[in-house]
Amino acid sequence: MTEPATIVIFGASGDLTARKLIPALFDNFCKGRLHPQTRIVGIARTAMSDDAFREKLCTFAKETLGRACDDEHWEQFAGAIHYQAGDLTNLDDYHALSARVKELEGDHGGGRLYYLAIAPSLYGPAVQNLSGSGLALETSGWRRVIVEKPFGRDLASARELNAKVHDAFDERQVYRIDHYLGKETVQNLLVFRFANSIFEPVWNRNYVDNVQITVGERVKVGSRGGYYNTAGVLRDMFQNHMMQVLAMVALEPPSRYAADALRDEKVKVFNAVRVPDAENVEDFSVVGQYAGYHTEQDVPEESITPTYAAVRLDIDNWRWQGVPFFLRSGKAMACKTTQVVIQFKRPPHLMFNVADKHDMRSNRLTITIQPDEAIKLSFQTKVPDAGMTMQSSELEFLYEDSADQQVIPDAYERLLLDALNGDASLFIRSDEIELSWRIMDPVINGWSSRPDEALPMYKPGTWGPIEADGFIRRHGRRWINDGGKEREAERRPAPERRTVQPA
Amino acid sequence: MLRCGGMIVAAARVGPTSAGASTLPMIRLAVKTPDTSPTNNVQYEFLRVKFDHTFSSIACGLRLD
Ligand SMILES: NC(=O)c1ccc[n+]([C@@H]2O[C@H](COP(=O)([O-])OP(=O)(O)OC[C@H]3O[C@@H](n4cnc5c(N)ncnc54)[C@H](OP(=O)(O)O)[C@@H]3O)[C@@H](O)[C@H]2O)c1
Repeated sequence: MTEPATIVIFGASGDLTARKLIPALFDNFCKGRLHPQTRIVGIARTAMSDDAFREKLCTFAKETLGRACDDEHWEQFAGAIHYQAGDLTNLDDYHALSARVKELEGDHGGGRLYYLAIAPSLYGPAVQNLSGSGLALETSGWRRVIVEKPFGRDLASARELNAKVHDAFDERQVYRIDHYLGKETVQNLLVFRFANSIFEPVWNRNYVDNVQITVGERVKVGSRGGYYNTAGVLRDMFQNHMMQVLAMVALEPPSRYAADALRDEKVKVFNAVRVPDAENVEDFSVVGQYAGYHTEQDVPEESITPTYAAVRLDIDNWRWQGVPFFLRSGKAMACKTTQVVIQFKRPPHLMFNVADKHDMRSNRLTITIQPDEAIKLSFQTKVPDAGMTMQSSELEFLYEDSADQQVIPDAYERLLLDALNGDASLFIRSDEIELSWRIMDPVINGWSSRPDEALPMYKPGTWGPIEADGFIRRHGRRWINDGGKEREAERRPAPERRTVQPA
Repeated sequence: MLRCGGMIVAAARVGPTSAGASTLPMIRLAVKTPDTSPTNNVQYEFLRVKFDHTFSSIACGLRLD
């Protein structure tokens, strides 16, 4: 259980608060994980009473959690929710907030968690005013701040923001969120690698041919066109989520599960990633835009913002030298999937007389982060009663089949709990953020500096532009496109088979 | 037996089963128990071959014993 604390949500009338933060806190409350002396105070400019705020949150919580949001629990939980109208650019409003929080805390005191669920342009003013009003001082309990993504839009702005944050808070008080790290299946990458002894010996350049990290979204930009067009897929997905997944796949075993031990290892990975050269951007990356993107709401007709990108990264260390990491992500893709594929090398010698030896499928480990969370290991098997015919079979573990049928909680549930407990393991440190921008900046700048080149287009519902296939072929590999269940259903009726003649 | 990285990791089940005789390779796997903290709380699950999926097109009554 957490310690007594007050959670102050900045941007409390917004989407993130209603759809993610409050449902996650409520779920933690229902599981008995929040201290009874936990208070939630929301702040935004909209004038609202405590009751009106609770009412609004209740509607969203019911929508998000369905039947899990029962009235009795909600009434108990909602009693601790309060609202204070205020403008975050106005220092006086922080003094008013401070007085309100003190009044609610009474003699109990306790820690305070400030959650910045506001537009990135307000992060700077918010931390400065938190400091200016004395709200960051740890005289009567711990003070922590959670900063949402995006953290900067390039290396220079991330550095500038880190400097502002550090003027107000020590790094140990800062929790930069990337909700991917709160996902069970991302955390399971650590367990899979370091709580099993059989994978780590082959998790290196001797056995691995290439690694593919795919984040496919089926949806188009929808109503987020205005924001998305200024960001593009490289800022929206690569710099944060995909780099974090890459680090979890590539890192060396931390000596213990502790925030700095884990984050030190991620930083070593980022330091070892070869920084791409913006001049030769097309050698190691490809971008594209789905057909019809420029007709989306708030997207200018002449937009050259990529909605798809694929990037090859190389990690210059002993473990990964020569193993390409292919990262790709896009909107309006063939299926919604986030997965990591570890493609192993072919056996060094094949004693069977396989007709199409060169096409034989080597071992492959597929970790599906979402949806249809699963781990699959493909291997060759002999088809019974069919001579020496081989086929690819899969050993699979599906979370939904897991014996205890646990419901996988939303990432924010875990992350909010960790922040309340002072565990920053799954949050991003300032050096990690800056290093990942350092890697992505040349890719972003490389493409944005060639506005005249025609941007490859792709049909919505496909795996990206045709150029992406040519790109990976030039690197001697091919994309592994088995996404979620839909694709599996397509594959199953006709399992892959290869006939082997007796040697 | 299935070998991986020079180590025996799991025994394939060989011999008669309720569905007839078959080989069912399995690997016992540590995975993170969902919704638990700290992160290194693990439970054991199996990576297993789905017999029905894999050999759906061949007769299940095949005897290997
Ligand atoms: N929504 C998501 O699923 C999601 C996911 C990942 C990250 N994020 C990040 O989370 C942050 C919030 O996103 P959101 O979707 O919740 O945005 P949003 O719906 O636009 O909410 C923004 C909030 O900020 C408040 N606000 C704006 N200016 C203010 C000011 N000067 N003083 C006080 N409050 C002010 C708004 O309320 P008033 O207008 O009432 O002041 C509103 O409550 C963003 O940085 C976003 O990138 C969101």
